[in-house]
Amino acid sequence: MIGTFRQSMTWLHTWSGLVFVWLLYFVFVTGTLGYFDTEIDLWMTPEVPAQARTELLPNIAVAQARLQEVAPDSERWFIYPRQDRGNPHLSIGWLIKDPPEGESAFRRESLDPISGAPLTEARDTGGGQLLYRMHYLLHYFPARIGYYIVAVATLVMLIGLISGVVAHKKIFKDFFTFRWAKGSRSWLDAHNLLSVTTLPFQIMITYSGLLYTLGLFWMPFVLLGGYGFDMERVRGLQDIIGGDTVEAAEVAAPLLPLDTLAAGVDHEVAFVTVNFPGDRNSRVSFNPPNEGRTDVVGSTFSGVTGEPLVSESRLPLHLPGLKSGLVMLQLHQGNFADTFLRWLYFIAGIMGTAMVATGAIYWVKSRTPRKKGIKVGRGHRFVQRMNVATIVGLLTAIGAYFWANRLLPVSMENRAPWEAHWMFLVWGACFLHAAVRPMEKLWTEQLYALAGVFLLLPLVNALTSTAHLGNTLPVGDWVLAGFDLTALATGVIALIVGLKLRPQAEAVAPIPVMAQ
Amino acid sequence: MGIDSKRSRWHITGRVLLGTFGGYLFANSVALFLVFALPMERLHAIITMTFLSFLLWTVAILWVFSVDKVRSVAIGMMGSTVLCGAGAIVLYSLETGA
Repeated sequence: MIGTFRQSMTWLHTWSGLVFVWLLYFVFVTGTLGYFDTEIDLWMTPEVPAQARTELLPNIAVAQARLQEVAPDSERWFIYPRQDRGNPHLSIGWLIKDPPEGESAFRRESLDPISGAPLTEARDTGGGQLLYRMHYLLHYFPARIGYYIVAVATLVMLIGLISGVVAHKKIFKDFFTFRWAKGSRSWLDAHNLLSVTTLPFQIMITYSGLLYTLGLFWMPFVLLGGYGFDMERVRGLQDIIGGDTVEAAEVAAPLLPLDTLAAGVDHEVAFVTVNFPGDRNSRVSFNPPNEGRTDVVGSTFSGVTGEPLVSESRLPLHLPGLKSGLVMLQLHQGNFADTFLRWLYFIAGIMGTAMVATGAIYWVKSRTPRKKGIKVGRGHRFVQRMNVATIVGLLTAIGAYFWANRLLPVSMENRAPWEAHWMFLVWGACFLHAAVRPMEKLWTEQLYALAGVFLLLPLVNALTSTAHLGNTLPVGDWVLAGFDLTALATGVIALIVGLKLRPQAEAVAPIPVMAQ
Repeated sequence: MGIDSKRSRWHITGRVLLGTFGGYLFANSVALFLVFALPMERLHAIITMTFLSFLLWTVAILWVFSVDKVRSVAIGMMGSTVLCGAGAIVLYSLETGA
């Protein structure tokens, strides 16, 4: 568009990046936290005691007894019998009939594996799940709209990655180039270094993100056209891909003990579903963990006679195209990751976040006149201030979300929504602050606020719960202690950067010193 | 970069629109043509091409912004969209014997 191919790609990279950079930053931050969603859940429900791993079969029996008691008429039961990272407590779920307007029909409960009683009612909280969901649904938007906005942003991200690679003169050299404290040049080096070293991760996460957000349904013409726009044949796909089509017989028949059925299953069981429990057509499916591999299909049995049935999922997994797509999606989620790999994901996510942030800062730095006293344009000032309120302000707001989790009364009505309201109220305050304060003080002041919020968070935790460092460190509970320690580290880093960026007393004649 | 002038502002709007909507049609049309042209099981071709159509869309947008004259891209993109669409129709009718 302008000059050479590389120049036009640089242009595209710069301007498409600028328009979406703050949204992408939000997606990167909340998505990165999503890699520790369950850990954050645990921190945000400190009254729920940790559960030791118990045997699978008794767990299933306990769960069945509880479901029989609490949801005998439900159409569908779910049992999550394994206590593992993604499901720290033995838990059950069921569908209720005719849920209240605007509410999900899904109910979930965690159980004590010995007594079978529901665990202490946890406080009403959005937990880490809410942060995780924000990265593809945003907040305050109808889910579909948020999803579409993120889809567009993801496409722009992919364009940014490709045009960014093209814009580069020497991608290899960037591995080894960092010029410290050289003004805008340093920011560009940082941006390049972060992007180049993590490029495979960024491409994977963006492309698989596109598969999620655009899915099959943004390109319907490929699907519909592939079947000659013959809707009958397209609907026929449901039989191939869709789930169970068997209806209830409306004839009561007792459900077999699920633990006996499970004893005959020759693969790992991550969750159990029961369709129409107590009906003659009831079906029980034992599903393998859906992470890490695509070639294990679950086992399905009749819930009355126990005879094996054709497995519920009939996804055509023999197709390499579908398989590679599923692998991309699993790579995106990283559910298979153990602690070490999970931290690696987290760090790669932080580097992606920093890549986005340094890009935004470089835009400003490279356009700031060298000489003092030259007025910059309104657009420039807007970006400058937006950068502070987004890059620092969002993190402060997330800290406020954690504060609200501890400080809002446990019995409060609409508690979980208010936790999120506090997050966005504080973020709004950061924008206000960025709009009115003098530019040279903005970074420092907001960084101090960020440091304060995160350095005090473990203290607030200690004053309001028993899940604080004094208790968690001695027993080596690294999930809960890790949260507080990460908060402290965030606060310390914010404080150091804030101190570094504090406005120097420039009036104290620096020139004579230079002249000596 | 001349983004301050009114003319080039329209230029950019035009490119954004062409990349977004033209690129979308282009991606769908090329993908659909390949669904019929590739020697694969139909469902497999559909899944594969749907996954790759996002890349086609991306490439189309990069194309729009990489060329000097918008008009030449517009013609090239619309042309290949129509050609691939027509090709898909031909292959489909050959297949169904219509």
